[in-house]
Amino acid sequence: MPQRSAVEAPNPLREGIRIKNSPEPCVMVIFGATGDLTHRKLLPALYNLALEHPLPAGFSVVAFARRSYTDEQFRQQALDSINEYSRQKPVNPQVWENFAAGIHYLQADFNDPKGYEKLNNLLNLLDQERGTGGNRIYYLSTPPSQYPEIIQRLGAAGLNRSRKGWTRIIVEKPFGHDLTSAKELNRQVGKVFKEDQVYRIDHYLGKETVQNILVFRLANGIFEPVWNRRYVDHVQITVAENIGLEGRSGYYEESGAIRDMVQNHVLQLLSLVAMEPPITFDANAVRDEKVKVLHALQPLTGQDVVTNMIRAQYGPGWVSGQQVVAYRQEPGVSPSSMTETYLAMKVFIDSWRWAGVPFYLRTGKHLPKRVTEIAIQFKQAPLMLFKRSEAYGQVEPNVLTLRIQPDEGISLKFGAKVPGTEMQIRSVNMDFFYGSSGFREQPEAYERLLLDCMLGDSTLFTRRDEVEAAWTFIQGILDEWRHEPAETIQTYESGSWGPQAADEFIWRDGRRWRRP
Amino acid sequence: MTNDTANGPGIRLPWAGKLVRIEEIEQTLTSLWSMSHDNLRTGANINVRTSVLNLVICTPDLETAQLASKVLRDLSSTHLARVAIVALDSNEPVPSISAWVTLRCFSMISDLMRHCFEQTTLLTKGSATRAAGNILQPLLKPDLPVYLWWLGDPPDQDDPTFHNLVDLSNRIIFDSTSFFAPEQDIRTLAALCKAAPDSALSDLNWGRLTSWRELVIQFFDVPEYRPYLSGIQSIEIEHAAAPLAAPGRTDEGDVSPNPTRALLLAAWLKERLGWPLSAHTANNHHDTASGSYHWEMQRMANQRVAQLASPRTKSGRLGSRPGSITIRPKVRSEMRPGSIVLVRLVSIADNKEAIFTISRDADLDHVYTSVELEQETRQKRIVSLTTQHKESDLLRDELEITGHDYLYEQTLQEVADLLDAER
Repeated sequence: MPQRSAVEAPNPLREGIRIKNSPEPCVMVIFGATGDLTHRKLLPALYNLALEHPLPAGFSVVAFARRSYTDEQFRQQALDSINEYSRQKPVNPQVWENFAAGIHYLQADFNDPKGYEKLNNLLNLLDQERGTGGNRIYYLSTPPSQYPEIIQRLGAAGLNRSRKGWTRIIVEKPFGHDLTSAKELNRQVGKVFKEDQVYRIDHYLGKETVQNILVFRLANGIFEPVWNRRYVDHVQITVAENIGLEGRSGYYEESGAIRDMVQNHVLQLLSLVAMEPPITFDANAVRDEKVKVLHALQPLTGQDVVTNMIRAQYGPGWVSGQQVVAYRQEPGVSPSSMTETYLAMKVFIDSWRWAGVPFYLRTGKHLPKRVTEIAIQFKQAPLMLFKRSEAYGQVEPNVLTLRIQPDEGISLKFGAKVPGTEMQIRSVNMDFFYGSSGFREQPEAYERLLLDCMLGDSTLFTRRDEVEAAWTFIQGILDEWRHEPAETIQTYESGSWGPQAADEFIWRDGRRWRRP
Repeated sequence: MTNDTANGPGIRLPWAGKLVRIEEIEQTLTSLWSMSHDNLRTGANINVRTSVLNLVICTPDLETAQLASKVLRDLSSTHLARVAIVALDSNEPVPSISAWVTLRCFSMISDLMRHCFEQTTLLTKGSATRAAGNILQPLLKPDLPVYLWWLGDPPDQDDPTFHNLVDLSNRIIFDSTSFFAPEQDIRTLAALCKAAPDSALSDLNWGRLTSWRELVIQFFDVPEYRPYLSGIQSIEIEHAAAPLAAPGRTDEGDVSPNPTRALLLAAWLKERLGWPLSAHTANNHHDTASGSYHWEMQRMANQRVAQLASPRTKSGRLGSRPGSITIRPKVRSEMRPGSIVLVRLVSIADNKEAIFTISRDADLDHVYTSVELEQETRQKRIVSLTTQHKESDLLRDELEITGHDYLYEQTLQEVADLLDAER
């Protein structure tokens, strides 16, 4: 049997260690490196990885953008951003100096072939000087409209493959703005890169507590047997924001809550909660199961869109002590905008496990607080023994809540007897606080995901068929909305939990929204 | 028969809480929780009871017990359920047991929410120390693993107190940086590891090496350098020593020289490279007093390393050339004795020499790594090691491990073998 070459063989020093994996030296090329995402998230995440040193010596960044800067000017901007946004402050000067030495700025237009030639030369130089071994990651941090151009140019310049080493591309959400554009984007990416080179990033999946959903479900023997239609009454998924547009009116007007939150974050959470156990914990096995959930979503079409969905826009009000204007009065928003800032919907999953169990999903801006949680409400006990006692009517259903943010953890609500001679029952919460915030800082989602990409682990990234399956479900809704009159958009007071119609919508089913 | 000092006025230990009789411990803890819930009702705060593990801390005296108690302040995130600090004073002629209990709560996100764990402190004197294991049994939370943190030198294996404590523990944690007779004590640990295979063994000093091992590993994560792993010929490690005329304790109480960290690092590399000791021992050197060692090794790389050699090296003389491991002290008064100062690996692959170096100068928070290939020095970098040395951080890392750290246990045996090698 031929032996593997030294380059392919794993590093034997890594065997048996309990320290984090360290990736091979590589270059990360960030397209759109002068943008907000790069400065708020990517550079701080890379710096933190360098500080906690899973990043290898020689790791380099090429910042590719249109504005004219020198290496030094860009490094200074990067330092300012890291000082402002990094979770580790102040910046360690020695580590920064070392990290900054690997940052290079390349000024070029995304549609200029010469820019890609310069990039090719720079990458080859870095391979020689910093030992990056032909390993490249391209990060698309530009507006999505630039993706096709950049991808096509990378292919034309032969930068989609390395003669040695590996090449990967990270595509930021949104992955398209509807099913057709998502398919087209996937087709264009697929023409240049193989699917195993493509890492579609949804930062929600990098959150520790999102990953914990699978551990909680599948590493414990007691939950999975009750995780089905026999025991679960319904599931509520809430992704609430207290912020408004934050200067992104142009983007939000086009996307609305359905594209901004539901198509990606909410459906990802739904998939993780509802999926079947994968046969192994590897990237494709997990994603195979997630995509089955998306395929099994009962399409919302025709009258279902009216009866099973509420969409709304925020009006004026008070949020977090600040007076805020209505959505249509926001700068950059059309006074007759039909864009929804709130969405509540009821969906069903047509599978043996979940048939008939409603999943209530809601998301919105200018809600009372920022919170993301999944609540599984169980059915009542089959026989109520306490109905003749004082306890009658006091027994509430059990609720298991997975809190994703901000107070990451798990709560189980159950009934307990209030001490005393009377038979009084009160619901109590048994809380588990995940991560014990405050003492050991958890890595940011981007740190985890960037490191995973460098290591070639795509488990927490979205696969092509997942994206398309999610858009297939969403497209049905978008198509219906086109035919709906403007009056179907409700208004809710900023700082409230949504419009009255959303409450009535769930009351009709004999249920109520949780107050997270 | 023992005297229970709680009958009399007893010792006042404000940091340890209320002095109670042994049989009153549970009841007192219940009442402390009840008082804490009253706080909750009055809206002062929310106390979160945490329950992941029992931690037993054995100390030689109450002074050390108090120091250990301070470390716990940083450990609430490990979700300690109950801590029992046991001061074992076997030199006292009159046997006695005293106990103190307290509920310790630390703020989590804000003062509104606090983590709480129960702490019992026991002072056992004279022959009562032998019963420490039995006294502890009913005080441990059921269904939760027991971690034993033993402060000081490891006792003899046949020490009945220690034996009983090991029997009830899932993991035993030492810190070899404080060993007074490092060579002897490390042999004792290796023997304990063999004698008590059901209990996992940990050493905080191994944790101090984590960053250093990671940096060594990272050299060979670079595919271009991987063939040099099989070409390593010499391993040099320097450890900090205090400027003392003879081995002993520094004013800060550290033992110098203490080569345990250097020995663990050398043994780990030896094991990973698959090097056996050479039959040629003429140049071997072993000086316990100064903490300097030299071993001639046989470079018979194991299969996982041999496959990294370049074809020319494979067909050549792999295994026929000697290798060596050298450990020496370096006087560095600004560092704690035992700290690693330098790691240097010299390797030849395809007749090209490469030197991989990790070094530390007066800047204690950073180390420098470099790779020197013939006629060029590449990839110099500075790495921060600031956060790695707090005792509470190291202890927390150990408390997060649930099973055996087989690599550590294997390395420990390698250290014992090196120390017992023919000189």
